Amino acid sequence: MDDNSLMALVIAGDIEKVGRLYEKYKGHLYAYFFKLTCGDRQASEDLVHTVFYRVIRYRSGFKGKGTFVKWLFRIAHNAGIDHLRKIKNMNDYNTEVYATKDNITEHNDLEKNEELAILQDAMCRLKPYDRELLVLGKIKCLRYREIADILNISESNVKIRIFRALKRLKDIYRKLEITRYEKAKS
Amino acid sequence: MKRQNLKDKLLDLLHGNLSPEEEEEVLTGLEKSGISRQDIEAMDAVDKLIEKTPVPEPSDRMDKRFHTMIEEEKRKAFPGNPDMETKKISFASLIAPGLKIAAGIALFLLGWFASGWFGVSPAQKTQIANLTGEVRQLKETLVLTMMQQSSTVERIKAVNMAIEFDTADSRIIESLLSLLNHDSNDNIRLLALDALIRYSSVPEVREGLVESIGNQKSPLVQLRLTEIMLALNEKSAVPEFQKVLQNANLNFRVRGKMNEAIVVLL
Repeated sequence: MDDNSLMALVIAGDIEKVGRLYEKYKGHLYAYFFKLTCGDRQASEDLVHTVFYRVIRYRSGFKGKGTFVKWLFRIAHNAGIDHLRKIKNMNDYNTEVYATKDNITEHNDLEKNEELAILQDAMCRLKPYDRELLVLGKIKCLRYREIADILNISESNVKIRIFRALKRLKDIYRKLEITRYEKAKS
Repeated sequence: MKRQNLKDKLLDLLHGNLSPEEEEEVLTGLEKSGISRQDIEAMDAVDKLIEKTPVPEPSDRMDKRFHTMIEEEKRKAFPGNPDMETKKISFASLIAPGLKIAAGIALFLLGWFASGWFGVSPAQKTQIANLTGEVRQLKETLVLTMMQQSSTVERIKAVNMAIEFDTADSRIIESLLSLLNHDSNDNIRLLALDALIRYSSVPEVREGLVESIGNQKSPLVQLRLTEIMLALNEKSAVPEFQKVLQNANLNFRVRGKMNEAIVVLL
């Protein structure tokens, strides 16, 4: 059964069917939030929960125009914005969460791979909007057309903005690489 | 190369989706904007690294919270009877004692054959397949018979059993559509509608759902059918909605919903 048919059942009152959609997309959503929040596992789980809560609560708002995944990530995008705003207002938003010792030791892969550690550090130094673009661009179940609709911009704009975000990421990455090299030398 | 074309091809360049000629053209265009070939290579490397970023598995707590939320939402939707929505009537509880014994024997034989599946001959495998088919046929016949019963409870049970089929044959679909269009009980119409959405990928079901719009008199069924047509993005429902809207006595909520659906679907 396709996503839209499942949603038709959910709208008709078979709320349990959301479970099928949850199983299909929870991994994509968790990865999206994990990268968006710079590795905050707790916040990512809370945000996945928020998204599905909103899917159930606002189910009649799904009009079947376009794919379910686009509607789902539109909700996720808004939930992510709310979260980042809240963090900013609380004034404890640490853009270098990835770089903290606890986080890195939590992921053994990172210790083994310095390149990835630098990349994650660089990702967290990007502006959230750039970071989100790069993360959305890597989600396999989303096409550029859908990303454009989620962000309310044109498909061409999505491509150029991802390209620019990538360029900024590359510049930050290079600076971090040089800094690490110089630290290691001294 | 035009500026717009260049913009559209930037990511294709990084993903290696361009022909050598196009690649050269884009790279030359970028060099004019101050982005060197080395920059592109470095961006390509960073782009590939993003894909390798490890993401840990979410904890079990996330799943537990989700399932708790679903249970709560179900309770809210059916406050008087929390089990109503999910109550599944088992096949065994529905069939007559004689049939129970026959089905039991069939299932025993099926299990016995299946336990030695790897050692069985092709002929025995065919026998097992035949038996499985027979059990299903038995179940389908029972469902079809129960759908014809005058008792509302029996018809509800029949629709609930039909929901359990992974795929439905044309007889089941036809009977469900008949219940949707002609049953005197609105609840059964609603149940039949929910059962039919499970087979919405079957063209006959979609056509049947669209045709049934004009047959419905209950605002509840009309509203749900309209929401379903929207969710399935079924554009062929528009003329049917327009016909129904000509009825001056149409419920105002239904009128509003159908008008909204027409705007979205067109």
